[in-house]
Amino acid sequence: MQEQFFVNTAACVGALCRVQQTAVELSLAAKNAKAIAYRAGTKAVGFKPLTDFIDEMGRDTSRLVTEINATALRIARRAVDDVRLQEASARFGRAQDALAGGNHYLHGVQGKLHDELATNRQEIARGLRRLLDLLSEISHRMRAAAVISTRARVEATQAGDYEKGLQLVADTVERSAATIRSIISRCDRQLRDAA
Amino acid sequence: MRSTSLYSNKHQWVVFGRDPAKVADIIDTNQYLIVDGKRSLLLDPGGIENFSAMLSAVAGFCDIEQITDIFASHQDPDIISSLGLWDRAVPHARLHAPWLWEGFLKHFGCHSIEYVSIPDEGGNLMLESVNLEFVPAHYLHSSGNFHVYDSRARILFSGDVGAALEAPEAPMFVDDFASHVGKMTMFHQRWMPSNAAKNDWVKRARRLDIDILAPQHGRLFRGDDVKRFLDWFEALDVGIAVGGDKLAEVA
Repeated sequence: MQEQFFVNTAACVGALCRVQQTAVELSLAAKNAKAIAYRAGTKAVGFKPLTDFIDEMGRDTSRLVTEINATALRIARRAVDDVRLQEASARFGRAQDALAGGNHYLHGVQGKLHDELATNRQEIARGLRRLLDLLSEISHRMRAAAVISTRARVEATQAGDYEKGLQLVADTVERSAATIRSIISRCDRQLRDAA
Repeated sequence: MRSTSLYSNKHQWVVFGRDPAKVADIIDTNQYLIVDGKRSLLLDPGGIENFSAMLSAVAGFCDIEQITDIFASHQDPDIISSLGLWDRAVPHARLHAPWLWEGFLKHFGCHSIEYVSIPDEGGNLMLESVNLEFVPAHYLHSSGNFHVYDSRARILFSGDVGAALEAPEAPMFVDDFASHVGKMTMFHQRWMPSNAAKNDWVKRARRLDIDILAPQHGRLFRGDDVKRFLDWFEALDVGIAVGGDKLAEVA
């Protein structure tokens, strides 16, 4: 396990906080769109199902990011534990080397350390698989968001006086999805490279 | 890690220090071990960087699993940043340390070792046959600080009091008090914040029957040098950096 891994995991936790904020912006954009669509009445009839979808996507993204954050944080903690366990193991090893013939009691302590290290690494691998799945899921949703923003632009052209407002909603959805995708893709790459 | 026996009777005192393999640029420290039958106490076991050398050195004097107690005079990293590693080596042990630092010391990692808080007024620890006294030394230099007195061996472990900054190969005992003063002055004036605390401690130390005064850095004092040290320390003005204007003079 590379020492860089715990730094990268911690960096991902930090970056994913931005995704959480962007997901909130997405939900706000959906609420704004609903209000505009309500005022636009029949002119924005095609827009209404899209606002429901954006709203649901914002909430889903937020829920997913919460789970991603918790998983990433658990992995980051375990990655730090891994470094500490390795360091402890090396220091016990140096003490053993200094003792002619080693020390039976310390041998037992080292054995426990190695077991703990192995268990910790299994948990990191399990957490990492889950985290990459979650990142992939959110990435799929963001691709769908890009399609939705295109459809929203088409629907907005039918909304007369309300077109400008609805175009702004489509812009927000497009921008948010691009931001989230970029962060997710960077995290995915960082985690795979460092693991 | 060099080891020197300080007392050997029904129980033993050993000091460890002057590690030739010590990482450069970290302050040299003295660690102490009291072996009393099947119970042993480590006093200020040192920092993470010393751990391997200390562990192997200690194994030469007692079974590791018989380290039942650890004492930390205060919270500094050179005193006890190895706690997380001792926590793995001797999970059954108890850590005796100032109550004031419990929440802080646990940052070093203390999952298995039991933290036994020493109240401000001090206390006692009975090993197998020897009764040790935790002597309050607050503000010398830490705000929650204790020393350990063994009335049978007549040794006072004095933490940072009596400490000196000198070469790692320096002898374990002071051999010329007058020339040693120059190595202690800055340390005590700069690290010790309170003349009132210092004088209170000197009064308390004078009531103890001390053959060896054993600090955590530098050389140990024995015989008449103990009294010489107490007289010198009593007369010394400490806490000199208030205002920042005397720092350059001392350095």
